[in-house]
Amino acid sequence: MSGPLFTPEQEAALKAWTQRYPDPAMGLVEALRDVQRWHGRLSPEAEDWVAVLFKLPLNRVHGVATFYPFFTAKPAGKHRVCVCRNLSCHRAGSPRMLEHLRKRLGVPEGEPTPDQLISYQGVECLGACDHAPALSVDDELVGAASEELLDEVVDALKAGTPPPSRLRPSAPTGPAEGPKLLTGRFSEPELHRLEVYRRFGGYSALEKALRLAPADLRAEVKRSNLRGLGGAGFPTGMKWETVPSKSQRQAPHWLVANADESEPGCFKDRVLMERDPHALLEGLAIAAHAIDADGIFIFLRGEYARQKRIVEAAAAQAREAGLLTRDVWVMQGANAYISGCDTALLETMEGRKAWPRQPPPFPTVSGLLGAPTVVNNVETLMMLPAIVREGAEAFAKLGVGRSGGTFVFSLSGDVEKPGVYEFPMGTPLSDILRAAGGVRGGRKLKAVIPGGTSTPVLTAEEAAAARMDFDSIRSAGSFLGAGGLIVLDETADMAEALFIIERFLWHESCGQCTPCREGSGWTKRILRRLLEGDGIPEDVGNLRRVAEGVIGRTICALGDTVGMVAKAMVDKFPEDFQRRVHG
Amino acid sequence: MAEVKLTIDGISVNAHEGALVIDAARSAGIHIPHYCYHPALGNPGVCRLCLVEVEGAPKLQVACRLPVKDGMVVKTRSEAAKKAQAFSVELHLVDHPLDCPVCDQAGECLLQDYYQRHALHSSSVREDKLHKPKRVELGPNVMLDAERCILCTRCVRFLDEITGTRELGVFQRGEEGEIALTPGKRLDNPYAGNVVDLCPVGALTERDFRFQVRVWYLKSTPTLCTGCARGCSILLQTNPERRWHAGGRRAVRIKPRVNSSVNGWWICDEGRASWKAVDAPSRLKTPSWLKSGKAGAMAWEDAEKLLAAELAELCRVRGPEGLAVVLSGTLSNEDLYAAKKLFVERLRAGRLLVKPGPDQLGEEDGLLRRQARVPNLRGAQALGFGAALKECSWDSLLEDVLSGKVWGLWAVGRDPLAVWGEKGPAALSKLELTVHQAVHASAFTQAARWVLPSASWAEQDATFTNFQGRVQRARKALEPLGASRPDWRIFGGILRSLGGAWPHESPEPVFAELSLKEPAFAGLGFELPPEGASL
Repeated sequence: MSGPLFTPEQEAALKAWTQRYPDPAMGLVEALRDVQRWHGRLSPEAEDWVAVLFKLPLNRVHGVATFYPFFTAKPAGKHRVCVCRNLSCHRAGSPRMLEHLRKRLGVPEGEPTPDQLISYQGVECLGACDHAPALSVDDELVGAASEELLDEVVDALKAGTPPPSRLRPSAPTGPAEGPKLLTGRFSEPELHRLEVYRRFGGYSALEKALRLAPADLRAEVKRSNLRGLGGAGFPTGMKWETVPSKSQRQAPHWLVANADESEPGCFKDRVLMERDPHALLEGLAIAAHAIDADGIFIFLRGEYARQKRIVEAAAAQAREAGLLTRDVWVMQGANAYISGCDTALLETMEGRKAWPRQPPPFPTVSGLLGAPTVVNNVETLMMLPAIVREGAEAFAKLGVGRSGGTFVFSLSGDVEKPGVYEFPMGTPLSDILRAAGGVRGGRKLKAVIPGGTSTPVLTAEEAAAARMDFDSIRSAGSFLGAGGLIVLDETADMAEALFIIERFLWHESCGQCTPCREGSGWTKRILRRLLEGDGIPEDVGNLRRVAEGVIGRTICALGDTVGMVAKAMVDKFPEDFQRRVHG
Repeated sequence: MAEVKLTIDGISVNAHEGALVIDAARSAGIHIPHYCYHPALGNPGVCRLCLVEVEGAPKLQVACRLPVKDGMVVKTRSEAAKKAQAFSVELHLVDHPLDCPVCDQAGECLLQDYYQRHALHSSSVREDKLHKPKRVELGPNVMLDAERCILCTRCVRFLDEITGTRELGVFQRGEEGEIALTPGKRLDNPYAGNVVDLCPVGALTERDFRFQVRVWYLKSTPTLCTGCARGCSILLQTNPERRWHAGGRRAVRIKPRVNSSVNGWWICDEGRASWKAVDAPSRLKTPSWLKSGKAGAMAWEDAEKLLAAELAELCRVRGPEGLAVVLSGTLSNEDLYAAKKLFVERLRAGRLLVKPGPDQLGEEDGLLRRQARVPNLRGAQALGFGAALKECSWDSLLEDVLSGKVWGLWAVGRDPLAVWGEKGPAALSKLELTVHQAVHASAFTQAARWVLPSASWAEQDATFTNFQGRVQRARKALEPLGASRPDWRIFGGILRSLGGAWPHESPEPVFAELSLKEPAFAGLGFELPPEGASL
């Protein structure tokens, strides 16, 4: 490479990343994102330069550079066109869209056009199953891909004009009746503006919360039966209770909003942040008071560029209005699903590969930079103003059993009206499905994945009987996850569906521990062979055996997922697998 | 630290609070299979092989991350644990190439061992295996086969945490993750070879050892490295069974031997390569002398007699103060004791030199390597050299030779010409008697009137005292090459020919006498414990 690697302005921008966070290395991932954008790749020279700037060993920087899918070693095009190939988007035709791009651009997937202008890629998830097949350009969601839209996008990029935006509004949200703690205000298009949010009583809950002693606030939340809405369902109040008090330990306490929503089938956090960012900020301020946090982080997945801008603008407004008294940092990842796992999230934030940690210690005791850290999901945090406002008992009563309040479900797949739908915990799955207009085209329901692709599939019969709260769905043999319902109609091939899910898990497996790394790869390869028509009688048994051998043996839950989803599919839809077996 | 009591496989085990179950089990003689855990490199818990059942726990636990608890009941061989361990081995083999017939690790591979001990499954893999680079030269000593790698990360952790040189990393991710060189780096630090020992499989192999000889033909001798004053515990591996393999060499490999008092788990690459000198072409094999400009081989008895007579005559005529003896910290305690008897007590030689000069100094670092590249400097000091027995320096010796004050120079294991440079030949021409007693030929060997071949460290039982004052045993792995002999025997033979008393035919009684006569060694026996004993 001739000449300097970076312009003086770029150098200054990279330097700024080293000074932005409590620890310099926390800026690493975002600094590398900048370099990727400027250069279209991460060259060894650039990695070395960044390593020296950050005073980090090169093997760590190179590890990060080769771990996250956002970074490429080979030059990508100046503009990156991404089409989601995960389950809902696949059902909506993403293979056809990728084929169209191949024909239109004349280059294979991942390769830039000869003029280096455009490269395109089938990606694992864009967090936009409601726009299936989701299409993004340079991290900005464009809308649901069609041949026409793809042509429009390519034409615009070639002409040097901004690509079109074809985003449907993220509401409607189902029938008007029933409690809507979060989406009730969605009819207001300007809700993201502070003054509008305040008109709906915004930040009054914070005022009330600040009058409570932190311990009383924690007790209130515990009584509300609020559970983690990011997938794990851990009782929020109980998590907070495990934070050591400051008198026990002088280290700073951190609060992190996990906005790395990456579970295929789930997109509610995207919609919630976009429409109602102040609810998140108010929730964070309340939680920060409850755990006496010294600083707040909002960590968004790499694909949520638009949401990041919205949240940042809202945070600036709130800070100016004196509503946020603590430091708030908005961070962005580099497109790794595993960063959504709380301990892996902390690793990404600290400028490392997203290799999950193995508790104990749990993050509430030793988390970000070794200090007590509470990681809560976006929607979980957004429920806090409602709890404070309405009272814990009222919130608990909305739900059922030990799952309090409502849940904003994401519906996608073979459903008439994909989108977010808020219902009380414990609502029958069939009610939710009906609210979304039922199975697309009046077809027969074959299966529902209740909580995102990481959760075991339910047959149509099981789905008909299922109630959507943490404990009910568990007794039905699956998980509520992050509430991403993927509807599959009678035309769905479950071997293909499982292949797509396992391909995703294989792609996202961090590779740290053997059972997940090898089990996901083996499972994916068996399934691919089945789909290619080379199935052998042992395949089904092997799929089950690998599944059972991986469940419960891995560092984080991704490995469990590899096994559980395969086992459920193979056990519940044996005919879709058996008919591919020969010999 | 508080003690806790737990039960492992029905055996009651005491352990310190905070100890790991995997270590507590080991102390009770129970080996829990594992790849990633290493006592010196921590417990990342990534291989998930050490799965054990713990009463009351909902699922199997990894023993390498499980602290002991009082009353804990652990089952490492329950049906559930056995099944899980077996499947873990199976998963480690899913993408393994199974190229054992051409793999140097075969025979000492933990994939093979654990397959035999814990798995014994028939492969269910009908898929193509992943392909990764098979032959990557990481550096001068180490070769990588990424297909055999199980990503236990031991090598990466060693280079991150022990040497801090960070030449390797785990790059890419998931199934495509692999160990590779950090861009722009080569694995060439002075301790690089340890990654080969750490690798539990055949992913990292030693380039010197590749395709030389099968490990099951090797004989391992627990001994010590004589490369520097540290004296690391090692295993010297020799090849007595397949003499036509490994290019006909007898010594073929050195591995570290764990010694927490001296070297921990590691050795340096210089020491690791020191087997090469044992069978090198430069080895001296027969005593010889120069007569009328021609070298003539000679039997030991004749050499002893003739040399003793020459010595006695010169000492009588020119006086013993003109005899200079250059000894070396490479000599064992027994050698130096015999040298003291011969040169100090019998001949009263006027000049002695033991301490290392530029010929025996190297780089020192905070890990293992010591500046003095001799194993027994402290032993020489303990025997009085440099203290009660005054030493000269290479410079003063040169001066005295050139000025004619010195008539005889007997150099053991060192080469004055290498130190004196261009003034060397002029100095030699002034000398009436020159003796080179050494393992290897060098410039001085050509010029010396007498050449006496010494046995190498690998060919004798001996003791050395390292820089910490730890007396350790070298053990004989091979017969002395040709007619070469341990130095103490050479000194003893001359002493006897001079009419002195030297009854010893083996090193043990030499050490016994030494420990009686030399107060520093009082109470020590020749049969030392594996980790040595302090002075």
